[in-house]
Amino acid sequence: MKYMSTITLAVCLLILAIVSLFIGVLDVNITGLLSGDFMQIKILLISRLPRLLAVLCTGTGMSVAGLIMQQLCMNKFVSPSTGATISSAQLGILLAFLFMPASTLWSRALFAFVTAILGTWAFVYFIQRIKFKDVVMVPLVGIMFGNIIGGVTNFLAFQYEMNQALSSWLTGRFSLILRGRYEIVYLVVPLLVIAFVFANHFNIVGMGKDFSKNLGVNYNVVLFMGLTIAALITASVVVVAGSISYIGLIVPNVVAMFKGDKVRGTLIDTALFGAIFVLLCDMAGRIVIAPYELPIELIVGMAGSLIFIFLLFCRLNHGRRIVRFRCFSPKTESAAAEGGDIT
Amino acid sequence: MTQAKRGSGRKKIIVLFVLVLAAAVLYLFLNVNMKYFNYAMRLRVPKLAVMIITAFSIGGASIIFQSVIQNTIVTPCLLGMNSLYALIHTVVIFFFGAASMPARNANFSFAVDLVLMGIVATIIYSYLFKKTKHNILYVLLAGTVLATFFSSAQTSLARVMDPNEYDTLLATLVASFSNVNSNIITFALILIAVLIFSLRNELALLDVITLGKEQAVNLGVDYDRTIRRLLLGVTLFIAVATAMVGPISFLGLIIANLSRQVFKTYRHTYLITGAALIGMIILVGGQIIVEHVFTYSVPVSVFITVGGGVYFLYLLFRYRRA
Repeated sequence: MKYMSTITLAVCLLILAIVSLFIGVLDVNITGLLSGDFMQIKILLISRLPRLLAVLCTGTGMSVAGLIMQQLCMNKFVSPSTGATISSAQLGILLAFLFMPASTLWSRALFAFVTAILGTWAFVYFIQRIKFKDVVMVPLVGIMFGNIIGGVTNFLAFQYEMNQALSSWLTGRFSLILRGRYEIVYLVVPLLVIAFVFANHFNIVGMGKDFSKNLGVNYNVVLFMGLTIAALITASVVVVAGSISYIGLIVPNVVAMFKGDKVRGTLIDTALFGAIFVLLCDMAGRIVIAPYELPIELIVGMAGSLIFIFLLFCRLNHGRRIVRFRCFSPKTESAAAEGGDIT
Repeated sequence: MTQAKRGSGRKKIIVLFVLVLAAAVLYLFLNVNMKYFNYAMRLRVPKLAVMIITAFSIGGASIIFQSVIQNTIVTPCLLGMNSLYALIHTVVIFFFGAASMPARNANFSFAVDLVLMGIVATIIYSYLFKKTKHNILYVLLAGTVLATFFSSAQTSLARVMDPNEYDTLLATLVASFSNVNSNIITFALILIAVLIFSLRNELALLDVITLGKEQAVNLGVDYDRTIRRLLLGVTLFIAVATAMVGPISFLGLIIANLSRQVFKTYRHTYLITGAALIGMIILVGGQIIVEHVFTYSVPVSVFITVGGGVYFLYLLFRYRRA
């Protein structure tokens, strides 16, 4: 079954989404909702539903952004968090605070968009100019690149005493999401549609400059468009929920383990799996120390890094047959067959 | 190495040493109010000592680390040792409480942290080495990712913590050069001496390690064991520096590369001494600027991050041309 995995993931997501609506400090339950309890419906509409939607947008958006970046950079370790996108968006938010103290969500988002796009472009320009021998160098350089931008952000924050205001954008969390202050994250949806339309172009560009020229695809235009989409998605998530690392790194890699590297074939699965992953982490964060909650960034940081290291070891021990981290890996039939069985 | 070159290396070290002395004297006696001379010295001497120890640990650790992994644009901070130290310190306070012995006595708490750090780091990193079959780049990537894990776990614990204990924790964890942890100077010195003594054989092998794994094995070096021990040493050096002044990511990168640029040699005696001396000049000089020009408004670590970042980009471009 070609679409089996997609359907399974969609059903899982639907169930989890419904369950997540009923997790929280204030009691909301089905009987109450059906009997028309005004209070409960209000909680649902003002807090729970927006939160669920924000989580879904974050999960799908960040994982697709990671997928696009990995495909375009020809490196399975690139993602918004290892490619300076998130830290640039944070710098943008700080600049918005500095230049327009009365800034709204939208103007902050505008700043974040501009800096995130510039930061990502600069990073990709860098790694394309330098041409590292080893795939692992690229994310390492990206992390240090992010550290530098973070250093500038910190410096400015210190100078203008914005540390506290900034700290809420450094740790991603969904607890402050209420109706009216998260809608920007919906921008993810049209961007995802564009990404899906151009999925095949991304694939071709991922095969290299000469190859895409051969096939009549304008390499630079598609490259910069793809990076811009990824940066816009990331920035709109960072503005609303703060920075959440690793989603863009782990989710595409897990999905690619089973489904291969064709972008159009994996895009929907990646999006669904990303949503499930973030939703699970968010629910865990709400449950662990209830009635308080842990920010999602911490849960994703812990779960995500362990999963990532596990993936890394899989890749090292079993080679590319099961886990294919590097690009240009020959797509073996056995891996495809196995992937089909597992999903 | 020819005689002339060795002589120039020595000359450079002497010049650097004189510069360190000048910076130290300037730091101690600049704008001192003679009426409160003793009080000023009581404040400034421990700070100076801490900066010198930090520069030495970070410089030495960075050079060793870069030689072991044969790459000059990374620093040991990428292995997540700063965050591991912070996590261990938090765990100790979390489980023993702020009023307990390990939290109150600075020396004892440092000792507990270090022992735990040594054990945990050995277990984790030797497991990583075994799993990756000594592929250092993968260890590095796993380390970077683990850094996120450590700091997430640390922040989570801090959020669940009793606010009073959190205050105690914060005071010991977020140190900077303006708020140094000077209680542990003696202890740190002893530790560094013991470390150097127990690693003396491995340190002597550093020049050979630089040749690469095959050549080193050919020359009769037990390669895997040596780099494991060296990396453990790096861990403990970083722990000393972190415990005293908190995390400074780019310092190691700057001073190790500057030292390599200045000395243009592969002899680690010169490289390590040079890195330590350059580190002292940067730290003491930076602290003078922070204290007397910016009057404490910006911590020196921020300068180091920004300056180090620019230097890092320059290195990348040079790396490309090489």
